[in-house]
Amino acid sequence: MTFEDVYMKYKDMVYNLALSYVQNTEDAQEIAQDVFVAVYQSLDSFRYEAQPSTWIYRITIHKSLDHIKAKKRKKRFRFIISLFKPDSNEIQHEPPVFDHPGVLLEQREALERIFRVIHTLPDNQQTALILARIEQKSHAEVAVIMNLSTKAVESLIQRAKTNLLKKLNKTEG
Amino acid sequence: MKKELHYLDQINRVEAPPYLFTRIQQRIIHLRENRRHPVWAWSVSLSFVALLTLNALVFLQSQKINGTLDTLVETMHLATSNSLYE
Repeated sequence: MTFEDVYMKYKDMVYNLALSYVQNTEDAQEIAQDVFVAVYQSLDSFRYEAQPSTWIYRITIHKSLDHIKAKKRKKRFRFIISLFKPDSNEIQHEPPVFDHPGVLLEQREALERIFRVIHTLPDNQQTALILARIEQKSHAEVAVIMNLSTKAVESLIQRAKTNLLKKLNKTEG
Repeated sequence: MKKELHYLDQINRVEAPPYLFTRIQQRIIHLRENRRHPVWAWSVSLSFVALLTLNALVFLQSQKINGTLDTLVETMHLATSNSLYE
């Protein structure tokens, strides 16, 4: 399988999964680039012991979570700079732009709120929820991708849903 | 609230932008260009080791010269100070 074949087969999968994490086309494109550069670098050493899709799913998950963490770090750094330089341009905190092309206009506001709460969940709950609800993967498939047992995935999803509803109720109240 | 959660199942799948592959190719080319050749890395580290050895040799040599100079001054009873009225 050449790199171009891999790209053609998995480009939409990677882009959509990245969008599920960041809800922003610009960030999703950046993540997709990181993913395929990583795939290019290790394609020769890939042993086909796992499914290529599982391997690429895992890379995308790692890159997306890394991207979110890097963005948070930058935001914190800008905030600290703004404390020392009140007149600096660094104080302009740009709010995260919700720009998901797959979201219907009438559901946009509700989904924006839901995703804001999803981002506060622990990484593994976030991933399990995204794979099961948005990527429509079965619990067994999620278990393979996350390298966990099906039982562990079920409990992760249950906890994620409970936390999500609790936090959503709190934000509404 | 639970109804709102169903919106997550209704997110449509989208296609990756057509220019994405060109951008990835550009990044791969850039990566290849910036990759250091192993011979280059070896020659840099070898020259660093050579520089360290040379420094050590010069230091040891200067210690030796200092030793012989002291012996010469002692045997010839030479003055070690610039003061004329001691």
